[in-house]
Amino acid sequence: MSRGAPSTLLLWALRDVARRPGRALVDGAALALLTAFSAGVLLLVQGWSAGVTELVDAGPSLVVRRVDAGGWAPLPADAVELAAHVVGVTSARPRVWGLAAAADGAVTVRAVSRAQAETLAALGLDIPVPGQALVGPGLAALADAPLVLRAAAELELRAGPPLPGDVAPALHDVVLLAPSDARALLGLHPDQISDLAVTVHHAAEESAITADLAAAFPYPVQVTTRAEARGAAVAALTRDGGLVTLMLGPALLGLGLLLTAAVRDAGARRRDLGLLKTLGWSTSDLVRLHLLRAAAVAVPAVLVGGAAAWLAVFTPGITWPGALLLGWRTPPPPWTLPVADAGLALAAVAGAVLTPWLLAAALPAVRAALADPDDLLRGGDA
Amino acid sequence: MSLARLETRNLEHARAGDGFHLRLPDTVFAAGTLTLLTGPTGSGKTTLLHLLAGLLRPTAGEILADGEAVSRWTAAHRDRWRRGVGLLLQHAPLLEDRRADENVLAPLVPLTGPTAPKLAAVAAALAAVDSVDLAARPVRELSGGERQRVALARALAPSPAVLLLDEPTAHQDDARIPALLAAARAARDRGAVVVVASHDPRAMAAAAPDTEIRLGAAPGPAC
Repeated sequence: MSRGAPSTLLLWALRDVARRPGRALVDGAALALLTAFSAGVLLLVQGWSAGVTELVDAGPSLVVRRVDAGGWAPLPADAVELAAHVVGVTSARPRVWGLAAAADGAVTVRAVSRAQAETLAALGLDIPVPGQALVGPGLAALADAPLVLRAAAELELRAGPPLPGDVAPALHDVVLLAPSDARALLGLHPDQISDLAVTVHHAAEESAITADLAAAFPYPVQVTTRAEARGAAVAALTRDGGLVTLMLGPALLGLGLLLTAAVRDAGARRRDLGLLKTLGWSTSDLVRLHLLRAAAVAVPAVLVGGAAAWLAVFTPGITWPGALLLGWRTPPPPWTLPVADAGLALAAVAGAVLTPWLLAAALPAVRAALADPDDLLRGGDA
Repeated sequence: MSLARLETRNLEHARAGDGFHLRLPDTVFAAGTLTLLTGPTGSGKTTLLHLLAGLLRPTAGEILADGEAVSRWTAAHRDRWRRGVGLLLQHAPLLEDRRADENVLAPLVPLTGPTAPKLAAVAAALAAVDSVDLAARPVRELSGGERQRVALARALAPSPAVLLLDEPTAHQDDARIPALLAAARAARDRGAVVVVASHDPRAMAAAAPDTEIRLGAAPGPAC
């Protein structure tokens, strides 16, 4: 007879697992939790990163803000004309927006622009009239209630129902106001704007015209390109990445304890390994047995953990993973992470969990292969 | 695996520490023969079986299987060699947390082929040693004699080309001995090399060997 097909070996390994159901259950649950936790954090950060990138790409090519000794300052409304005359600029759009304090923390308020009015009309919604506020789906908790906002002035508004969940990401967590309300709240005069959203003909021109654009204004301005906006997002992502690393520490410690227990458990079966070698099992057979036994527990656990992480992050309406793992205080927008990227993230986590687990399982078999079967048998369970 | 002859040449095995030294005249174990190894405790019967099984390497001389020097093979090749060897160890070690039939199945597990014929071979081997009733019992619950029969069934199950039995009757009632040795003779009759080591007079009487080799007393303690 010759060797090879793992069918009987697989049954033998599964029988091994079934003989110790409690141990298999504990190991499987621990691996599933570890996978779900790690994959959940990774998917959240990747989804957030993809969302920010999408947001930046959908935004203007350049943003012009006025600066003075006190920091940001309002731009005069005629700045639109100044920017429009710069060679390479295809459009310059005034924006009125800023931060305001609400009952549960700071929110971003925006005056409804022409583009946003079109977006709202496409959703069958009217633009807010003075005294009315529209809230994005991320701020649904503020909807359908009186809303008091404080910035340069205090404004009492009437919030309508939240915008639909599939609204553009730029409107996800903002409060939309009529331009007059927004100006009153932010302390802007009718002839003032917060900043300018400038578009250029080609992405390559973004950095090329910043100097000309800045020189077009008779006061100091800061021009931010898309690349710089992405850089700011990357900086935030790096900060969160550090947080993730800290959070994965206990999880990795847990994995280490599991591995130690697995190696010790397998090592305690040295006499059995010696006996199997005496019966003609090769080193390869013993390694395969250990790998199959470990995989029978770990593969389903990793699949369950990965699926749980996927569902927790990508199921619309579920908000607790972001709050629990990354401390987000408002519901995130629906993630649009490409399946390939998410699959890669899950595969990376599965590899990080399975590889040490399977190596820990195979290690005693490899060590036994270096020992004489007679010695293993004589050595008993030592 | 088919085998025409297993032979030893200038075989010696010495053990450091206790002064044990086995020397065996050149011997041929032919296929289809049953050889009885006798001798007092410590004479080297178990050591010779372990040498033939590839568990030990000789300190001098060699063991040849159809002219191939088994004793010079690497550990991996000796693992493969043991696939064709059915070995009943003296103290009948078993996988303690498994059932009797699973212990008999153990040498068949890594072999190719479907599981059903392997299970049939297990049933046949248990029947050959009159132990079908033990199949589903955990080996921890078995008596010494029952454990030995399970271990013998395990040696028979792969239909090995070489069957090496170390004291196969040591823990058995008189009534069971003929059946156990009949199983050994059946292996011989299908062409296996069968070597039985025993110093049990009951086994010597019932084995009906083709050849008998008597090993001398060893200077050291029992091996």
